[in-house]
Amino acid sequence: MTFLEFLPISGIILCILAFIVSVWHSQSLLNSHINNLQDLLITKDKLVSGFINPDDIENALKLLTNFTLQKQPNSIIGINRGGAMIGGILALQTKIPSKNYIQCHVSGEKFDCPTEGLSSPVMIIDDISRTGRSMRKTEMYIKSVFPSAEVITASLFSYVHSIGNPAYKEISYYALPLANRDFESFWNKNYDLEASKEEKFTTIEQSVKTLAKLLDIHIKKNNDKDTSSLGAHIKALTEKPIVKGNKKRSNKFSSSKVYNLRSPE
Amino acid sequence: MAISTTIISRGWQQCLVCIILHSLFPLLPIGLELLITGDVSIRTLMITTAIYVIIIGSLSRSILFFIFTLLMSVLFSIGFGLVMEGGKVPDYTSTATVFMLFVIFLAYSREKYVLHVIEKAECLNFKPKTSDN
Repeated sequence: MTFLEFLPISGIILCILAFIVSVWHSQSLLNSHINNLQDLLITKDKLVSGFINPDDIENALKLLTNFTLQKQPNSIIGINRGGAMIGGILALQTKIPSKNYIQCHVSGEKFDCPTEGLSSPVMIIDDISRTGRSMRKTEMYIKSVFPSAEVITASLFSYVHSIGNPAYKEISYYALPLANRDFESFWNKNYDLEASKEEKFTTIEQSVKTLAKLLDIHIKKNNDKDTSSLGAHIKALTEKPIVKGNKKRSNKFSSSKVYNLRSPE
Repeated sequence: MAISTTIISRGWQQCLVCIILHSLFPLLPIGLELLITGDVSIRTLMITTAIYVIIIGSLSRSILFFIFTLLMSVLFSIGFGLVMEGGKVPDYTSTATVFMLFVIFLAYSREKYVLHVIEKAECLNFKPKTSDN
């Protein structure tokens, strides 16, 4: 039997094997996705009128705070606007001096990120990572300015593909996965929480107040009287709005009062 | 009349674009030869199959699938060389080759369905960048 006589038969055998392997691989990816994300994945049925459930936001904040305490960054960069708010909360909880907390504005081609006061390791925070573009831009910029700096990227939520890969594959950490890019956190400007529709939540103070208000309502609804809860803590934060350079206030809040995070796992 | 883009979901659009670009375009030589001469020579079939399977294999996320397509590509490359030297192939070679191309196409399409329709991964992104998150 010559090679050319043998060729079609061997080709068909290889082809069928390749097909079986491909089908098996796709199916295993799907099964793995279902198993891994079933419990964590924020799906449509978990939303409150199209917005991420406060329970999930609270859980994600706890997880992200744990991660931040483990990593012990010296600087935090919050990506405007949602990331700046979360970054501000984390900076307070981890007692990062206000000069080391920076807000970066990333929108389309616009990029404004002051780097004074940064020291390694630097943690870049966003609220939702949908495509990862903002995070990628910021990370690349920081690495270009400080090539030797250790850069950690983290977000509260990240859109994930069915196999569990986040939208920004290089992200160091995301607390909870989103099933859809369109899901919004309640600090989105369209969320009407007894607030005037003119309110745009363009500042950290406004966003944190909204966060506190919602969590407070949520806690009351669940008869949660625990004063160490996140809602109470955030509410306390809003009594003195986050402003850069206010060292007194940043020292006032101890992470140990919240979530009992003395010894993160 | 404006055509609504929601008739086909974004996932399906990405999937179809990917299938057309990656798995139908490489078959153009066969289509053109068929169109112009009314027949496809065994040499064209063999070289197209050798290139096609390796392209599809390298675009796959399965290493095993890639290995099988690599072996197929090697076999058909050798086969192409032998045919060019005047070697004779069995009569059913053309049919078998077309069958192989079809099976590989099916396997790749299924993988693209999972990637783009279920995982919502982008193939080509023409969407306006409204949000940078």
